[in-house]
Amino acid sequence: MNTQITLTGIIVFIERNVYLRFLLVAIVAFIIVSIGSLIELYIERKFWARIMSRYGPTEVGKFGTLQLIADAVKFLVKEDFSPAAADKTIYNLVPVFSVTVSFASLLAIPFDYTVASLFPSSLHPLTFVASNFDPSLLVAFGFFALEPLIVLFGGWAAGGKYTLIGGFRSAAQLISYEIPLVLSFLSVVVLAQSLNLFQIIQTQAHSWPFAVLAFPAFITFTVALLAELERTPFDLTEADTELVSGWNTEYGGTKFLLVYLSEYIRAFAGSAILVSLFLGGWLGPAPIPPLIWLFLKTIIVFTVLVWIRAAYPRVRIDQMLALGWRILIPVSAVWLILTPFVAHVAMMHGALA
Amino acid sequence: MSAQQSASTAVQQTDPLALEKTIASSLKAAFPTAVKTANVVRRRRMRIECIPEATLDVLKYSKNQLGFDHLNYITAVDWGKAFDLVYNLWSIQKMVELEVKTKVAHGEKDELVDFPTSTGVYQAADWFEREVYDLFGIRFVGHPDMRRILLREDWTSHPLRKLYDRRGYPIDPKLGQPPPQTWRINEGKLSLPKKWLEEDPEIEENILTLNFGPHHPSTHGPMMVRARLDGEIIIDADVVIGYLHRNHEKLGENNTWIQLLPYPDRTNYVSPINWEWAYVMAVEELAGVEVPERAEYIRVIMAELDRIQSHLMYLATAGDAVGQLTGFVWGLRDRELVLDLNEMVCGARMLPNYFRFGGVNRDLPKGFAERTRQVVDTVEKHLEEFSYIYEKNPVFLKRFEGVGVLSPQDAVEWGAVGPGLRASGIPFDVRKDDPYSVYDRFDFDVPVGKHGDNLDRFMMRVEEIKQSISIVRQALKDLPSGPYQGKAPTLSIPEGEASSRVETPRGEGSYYVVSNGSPRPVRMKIKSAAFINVYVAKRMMIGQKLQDALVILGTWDPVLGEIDR
Repeated sequence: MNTQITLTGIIVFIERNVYLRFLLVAIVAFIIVSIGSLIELYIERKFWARIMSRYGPTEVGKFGTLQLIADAVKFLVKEDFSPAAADKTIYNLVPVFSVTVSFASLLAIPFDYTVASLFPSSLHPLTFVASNFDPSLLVAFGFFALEPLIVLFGGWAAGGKYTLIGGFRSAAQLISYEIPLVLSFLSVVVLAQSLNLFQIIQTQAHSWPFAVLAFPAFITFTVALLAELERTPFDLTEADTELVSGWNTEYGGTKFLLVYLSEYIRAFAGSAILVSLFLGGWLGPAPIPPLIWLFLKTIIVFTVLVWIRAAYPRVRIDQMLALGWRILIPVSAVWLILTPFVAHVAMMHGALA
Repeated sequence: MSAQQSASTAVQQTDPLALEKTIASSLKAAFPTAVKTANVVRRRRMRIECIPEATLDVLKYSKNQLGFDHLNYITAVDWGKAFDLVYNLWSIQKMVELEVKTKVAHGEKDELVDFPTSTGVYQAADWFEREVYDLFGIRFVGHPDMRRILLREDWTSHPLRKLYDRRGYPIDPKLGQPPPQTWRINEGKLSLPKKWLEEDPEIEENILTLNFGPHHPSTHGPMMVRARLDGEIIIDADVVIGYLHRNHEKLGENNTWIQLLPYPDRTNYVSPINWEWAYVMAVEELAGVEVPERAEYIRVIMAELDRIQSHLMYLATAGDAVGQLTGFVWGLRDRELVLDLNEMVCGARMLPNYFRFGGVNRDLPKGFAERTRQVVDTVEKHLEEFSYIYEKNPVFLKRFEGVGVLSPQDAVEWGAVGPGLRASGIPFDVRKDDPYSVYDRFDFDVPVGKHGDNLDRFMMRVEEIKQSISIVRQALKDLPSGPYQGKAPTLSIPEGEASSRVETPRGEGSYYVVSNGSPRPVRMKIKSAAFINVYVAKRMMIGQKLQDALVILGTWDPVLGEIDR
């Protein structure tokens, strides 16, 4: 009896303190993304290897599962090296910022709700949900869009020619693909009548998934997301056969580990946003906990990204920009204009609540 | 090809040497005093000797009047007091090879000798003349860019002269210089458009020059591409080679003929068998060795398998150049199958050392035919799989189709050979045009491209794999019994000179060997196909986008062992 009273006390305390709630969200998101990016890395290596008819890691741990840990340890014990031409302060800060910013975009994604819903309702789980605030989608994208800027800084500060070109390519990519990305998710915002990711997912509980209702936006969003995540066929910033490793050529050891990790965190965040916007987030037909649903969908989306990487070569910079400006932006803009009518028709037929 | 076989083909036709004789007589008529001798060596091959002053005129006449439009190579032979300067020309229309020889006298010491450049006649002479300058010290006056190419810039000697030993030290220290102890690369000057320099004299410092290599994923080995960039567009480019230079040609002069047998493997480690054949064929022609029929068939089978694995390696690197790593691994996976066959036949996978003068090292092992049929079936089936990630893949087409177009005129003028030349619409294949061994008995096509773009150069390889598979199947079906090794000399090779021509996977490769009857060659020149193809790639890169330039370089399939020798 005593413990229960104490627990309630703690819950009430946390509920009333907005900072503590966000700290809780951060811890939850951190745990989830840590597991998530490990699984992603494993899929990247194993699934891709099987497509290439290789085995991927096999030696360390069962089925090579501990290979990632071994790699991380290898990076951590390497010499902390920085090139002579580098602007040391920015050069050293960029990996840290890169991870932080990538991670921050996860805070607005309602992972905490899925975790809270695992507990019995007597604990009033929903009151913990800090990610249920109004412009959460904008916050997620705000952090998400910061990364290419950091890449530009990183490329510039490293003082190499390859890194410089990689950084500038990244800037071009940012400008041309942020717009279709935002235009695409705006049509979802119109359908759900909310900028709150929590609300957007809840709306899909009573309607068709937005991947169906806003199919063109789903496609443009996916393509633009591929470019934002700098993955093949849009991995021009790190084009390994031209720019060696692009903007992060001069980053080694722990710094490279952070850069590498931030890529996968971003990929996880991007996939999670895609799932929340278009594929119904934690909603699913089978009686599986919401946490597992959201996690599973995110990983499946990421696996598709790996599949795309295995199937397609890299495009050229002008082709990529042409795709962004001439196809994705017009298509997503036109679709945004059409969305109110679609929403109206869908409501009449009960496809949208 | 042995001398007997060419003689037998000569008997069958009415006047087989009519064309060669007309060319010889017209050269004689045009230059009555300048051309000293004009010989027909054999069918499709002739040799003329002319005085140095008239060499350029003879070349001009050969190109413009007689149609010798393709420069194979330029090289020299040091005879102690004078050089033989050799120009090897080929007429794509008439399918005749013309060797123009001239004497250039030189002093006792290692001093430069001047000779007029032929870059005005053949643009392909650019790099060949630089090579001769580098290794022999013949300075070509009027050459636009006369600097070293295989050796470093700070090298002072010319190691292929006879006064140097095999390590590059002068035998008599008074006559030459030892190799330098410093290390500087061959940095050429990269140009800028004149208009830019007029507008802003300080622009030279503000334009980015990017060095690709010598260690870079896209250069396929230690090679450096220096590119001057305007944004993503290459204004001027230079290719620095020589990082893998071992001077095989000097090694050739310091080993006996038979000791040299393993060296061609190292010349091109991606297609070793074809290069072994080039060397063996040259020596066989020189010594008049007859090769048994079974050995010829075994050679054809092994050479075509070699072509298959080399082209599979190309399919792999083509994917790598555009970030398609799946294709990279698939290509290597299938190449392994063919390398396993190599291992089955000669015990080694990469450097087989299989050919001998007058035959091959050992007979085909038991079960080879079945295993080979299985392998080529698998490769054929996998080509279909490749098509989904390559030529049927829209993103791949975006990068390859219509990019890096090389016109047929430029291809011939710049000296391109092999699949790259055929992609531009010139059906030049030594196996068809100047058939050696038993290639005239097989039914196969020479694939020819229409546009000369990256995609065509890529597709040439795919089509050639299919043709090679067909040749392998035919050869396995007709494989005769009999000895696999004929009678051949081991040490003494008769005096004279000979050159072979083999269609290696990268184009026509040839060995030019000169003997004075001693156990060691006087000269062993290796004509590398990849060497001149990289020159073509360098010319093509200018004006292209950064990303395309490296793909274009890749479509010429450079192998640095062959380029640097």
